[in-house]
Amino acid sequence: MVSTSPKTQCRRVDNGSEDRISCLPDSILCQILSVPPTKDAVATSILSPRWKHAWTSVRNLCFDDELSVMGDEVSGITVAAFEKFVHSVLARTHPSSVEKFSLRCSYLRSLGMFDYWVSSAISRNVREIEIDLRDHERIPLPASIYRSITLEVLRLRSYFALKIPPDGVCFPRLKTFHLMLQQPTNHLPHNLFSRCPCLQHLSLTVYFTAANPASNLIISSATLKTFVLEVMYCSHSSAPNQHTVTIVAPNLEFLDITDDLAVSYAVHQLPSLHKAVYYVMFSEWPPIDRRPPVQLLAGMTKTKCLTLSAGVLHSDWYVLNDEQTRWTDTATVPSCLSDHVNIIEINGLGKENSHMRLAEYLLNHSRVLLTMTVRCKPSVDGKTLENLHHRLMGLHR
Amino acid sequence: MATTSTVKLRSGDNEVFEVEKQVMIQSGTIRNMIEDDAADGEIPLQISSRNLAKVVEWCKCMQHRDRNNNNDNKEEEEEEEEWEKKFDEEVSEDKDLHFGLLLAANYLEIPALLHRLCQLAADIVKGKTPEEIRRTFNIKKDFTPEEEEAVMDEHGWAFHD
Repeated sequence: MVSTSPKTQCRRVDNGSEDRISCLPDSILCQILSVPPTKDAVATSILSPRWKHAWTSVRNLCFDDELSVMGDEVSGITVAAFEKFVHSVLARTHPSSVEKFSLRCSYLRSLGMFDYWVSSAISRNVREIEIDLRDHERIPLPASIYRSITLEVLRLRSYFALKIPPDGVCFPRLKTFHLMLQQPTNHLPHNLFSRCPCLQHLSLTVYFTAANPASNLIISSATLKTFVLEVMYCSHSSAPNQHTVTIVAPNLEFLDITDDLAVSYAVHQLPSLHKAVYYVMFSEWPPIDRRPPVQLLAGMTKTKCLTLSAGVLHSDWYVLNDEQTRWTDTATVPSCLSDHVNIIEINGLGKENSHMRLAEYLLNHSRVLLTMTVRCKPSVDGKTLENLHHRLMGLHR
Repeated sequence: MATTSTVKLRSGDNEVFEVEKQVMIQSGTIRNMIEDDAADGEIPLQISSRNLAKVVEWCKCMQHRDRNNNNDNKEEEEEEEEWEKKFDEEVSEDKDLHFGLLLAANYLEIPALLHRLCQLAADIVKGKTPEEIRRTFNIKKDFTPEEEEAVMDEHGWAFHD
């Protein structure tokens, strides 16, 4: 007969109710304490002698200095107390069992300390690292991170200076990588991603300013399955230079691009691409090269599910018409629309005539369409809604 | 060789549950027994029928969800979410069930269930003062004032709100 009773004896408190949580085996207690931020786990040491050291075997270390800094209360004392806390937790926790190390830190006083904390996690065979240093920018990561053979997930939520080793494999086991790059140089992405042998999920935020010379960022990976790209641009006074993103990822299955700048894309065939989302925002700068959407879409011949923003449809907008975004009527009907599309969803349909014509175009030409869902803008009133409905339903099919 | 597609689990209070092997292989313990051909008779477990029924129900729901993962059936998805929400509420409000299931999931080696239950336990602890936690779980302090002060001193930052 197999038993689930823990070895620890359950004790009864004075009123006769059992203290069952304290009777749980260490492994379960440790798993419960691995959920909250480390600060809260350590705070349970005050509960009773049973809990005094229970937290020392937690497998997740999660430090956030804002958890105890309120508003303008920041002082050298709180910052020093946080640093001391991280040090003492690292000194007391089990040396080789860290699953996840996460650090959010707004008030970093010394680079050496940061280096020591992250290196400690790496030397404990950490599987997942997440770091957000807020406004501290261009801080180098410890050299050991690039060679870690246990690290599978790395999420960098602020800008870091990457000092990639000159040769050989980079991040040998890394599968999931979130990275933010500010004014990236041409060679960095290529040099980095093509050397990560296990990379499957990449989430990349690229931030350009007017100071960036024209660039071509090459994202090349034979293992990549999902790629989420966000392109941001910030300048109040000048137009951006010409930037290109080249994607070479033969095994890519999911692509999601949100592009603030309408950069150019050079895409090699993506034969495995199943689903793609492509959002071009209306930036205040006209795109210099008007090929981008067509170029990118041409690479998506096998895609089964495609989501496009109005900005993609109106890529010619700046040149052809500077009054308002509008659908340009066309007599051409691509065969993918006429012979293959069976589900269409339109979100944010307004009462503009051009919106209606786009919906009509899609409805008229999709011969195998099964479902069409239209969601209107909140500003569309009841009467207009009725009219729209009437017009769409009246189309001969 | 295993001959049947089901496995029989006998609870501590002698109720027998016959469950598809496909469902129960989520349990590392049962999976090992099936692989070792040691699951053809009844498997006696010191888990109450109430807790065992809940474990089986959970395993069925998860297996159903995994099997349907590729269908985009929104109705079924919502139904499953609803079931999980109800499960969470029921467990969070019933300490007997919660701790019983924690031990059962730990023994049966069902990592996803154990993970969920630990999350729920952590949610209950979250935002509570030490005194509130003690009251919630009937924990007796058992520290002398000196010992308590020593713990406070050791990790000052953790007790700062």
